[in-house]
Amino acid sequence: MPILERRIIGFLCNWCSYGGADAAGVSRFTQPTDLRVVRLPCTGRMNPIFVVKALLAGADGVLVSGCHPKDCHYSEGNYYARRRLEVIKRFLPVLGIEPLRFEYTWVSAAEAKRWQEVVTAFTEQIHALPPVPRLPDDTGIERLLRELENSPLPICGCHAGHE
Amino acid sequence: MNNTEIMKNVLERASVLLAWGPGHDALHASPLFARKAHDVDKVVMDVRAVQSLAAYLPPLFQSEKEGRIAVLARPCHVRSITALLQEELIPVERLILVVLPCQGKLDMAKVMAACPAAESLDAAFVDGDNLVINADGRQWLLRLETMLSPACVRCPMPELPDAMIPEGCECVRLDGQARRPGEGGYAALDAFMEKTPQERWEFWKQEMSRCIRCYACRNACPMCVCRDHCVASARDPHWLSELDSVTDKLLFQVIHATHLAGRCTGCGECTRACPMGIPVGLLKMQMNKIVEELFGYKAGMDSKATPPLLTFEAIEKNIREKGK
Repeated sequence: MPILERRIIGFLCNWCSYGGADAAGVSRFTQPTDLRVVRLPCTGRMNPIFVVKALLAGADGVLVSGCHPKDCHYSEGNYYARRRLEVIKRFLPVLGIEPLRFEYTWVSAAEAKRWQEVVTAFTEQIHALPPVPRLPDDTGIERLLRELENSPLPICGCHAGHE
Repeated sequence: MNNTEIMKNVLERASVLLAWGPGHDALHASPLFARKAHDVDKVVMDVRAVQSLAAYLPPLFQSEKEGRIAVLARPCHVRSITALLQEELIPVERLILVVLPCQGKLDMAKVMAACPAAESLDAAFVDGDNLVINADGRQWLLRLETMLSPACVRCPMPELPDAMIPEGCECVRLDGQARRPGEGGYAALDAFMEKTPQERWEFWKQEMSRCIRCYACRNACPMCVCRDHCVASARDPHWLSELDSVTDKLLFQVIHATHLAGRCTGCGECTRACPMGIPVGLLKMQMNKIVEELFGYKAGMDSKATPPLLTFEAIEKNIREKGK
């Protein structure tokens, strides 16, 4: 039985990895299909909150890929990104989120083969993990109403004894 | 000169002295904006003065009416002020630091747990090593050491080293005896990280379901300087909904922690301010630990240092990224 697809969000730099992924497709390299791509102008655009927001919203994994250090289209965007992404990767464990759910890496526009390897390896990594834990998305009032419904006690004195 | 005279003397050169004064009862102190010499007589600066006054500085300095601003600060508060100076959020030439040797700050939750009658007390004062509370016709003697905030117990720096006075800043020291230094470190965080990931996830799920979204943690934070432009209340981009869902509340805490990466001085104001007693400071502590491991950096130690996330190195010593 085939394993169900997982939701993986990929944030790719327009100038390199996005082209690399495109080239991999054009070259008809076989790739897993779990990844959904968001195109960024540069990995320097990457707000670390994107990662946490995606994971809390139900993504099983997040992959960021940009230009190799020294090759940034804007000279230094990926250097800033490297610091921020490394920080957020090390931050995830305190929330109880498996840090393997998030990776960042560098793939140039010419590295279609490497893109295929990266996306395959990352997808396997995510499939080896259970689905991402979800928080209850009900609000306080819904929670309160549910608790009251399940409560064996009468809600208040005035309704005691009435069915 | 005694401390009151020193402060009165400072006030002659400043339009306001930010200090602590009497609060709603004898156990609590409130911020006091002393403008006249007789205001200084009301200043409270023992263990009851728990709040950091650093958060008042950035908006106060924007006021055209203020001349120089003097602020009473414990060494941990000086770190917050140094961090504000690092980011040029307050002008060093208009600032006068009045530093007190720190004897620690009370953890009001601990006091209330040890003495529930303190809700309506008749008197509270410090006597030697004890906090004395008179309430309900009885007297409680609480050992000060056990009533201090956890940040104070581990504080390695109750006396401000000269090297940490921000460059170009006028600094006046008050007389007094500081408590003995603690060992520093991240003991509370390390204990938390011994839980399994599932336990940690469940912990935040439980704690965040108690959060009432009052944003006291943000408002108390000296480094939260966006004020009316906070991402938490922005509609565009709409990062957080107006719902009271656990996801939104946890995401806000993560946003707060990431915005403090490389900026948080670990003053503990967020945890102290939380009316629900949620230990939100753990997230910032994790951030501080990461920044220290990766970049060997602690915020608020050097007013000339650049925070590590505002800069980079072509070859990072401690980052081993994939694909190299």
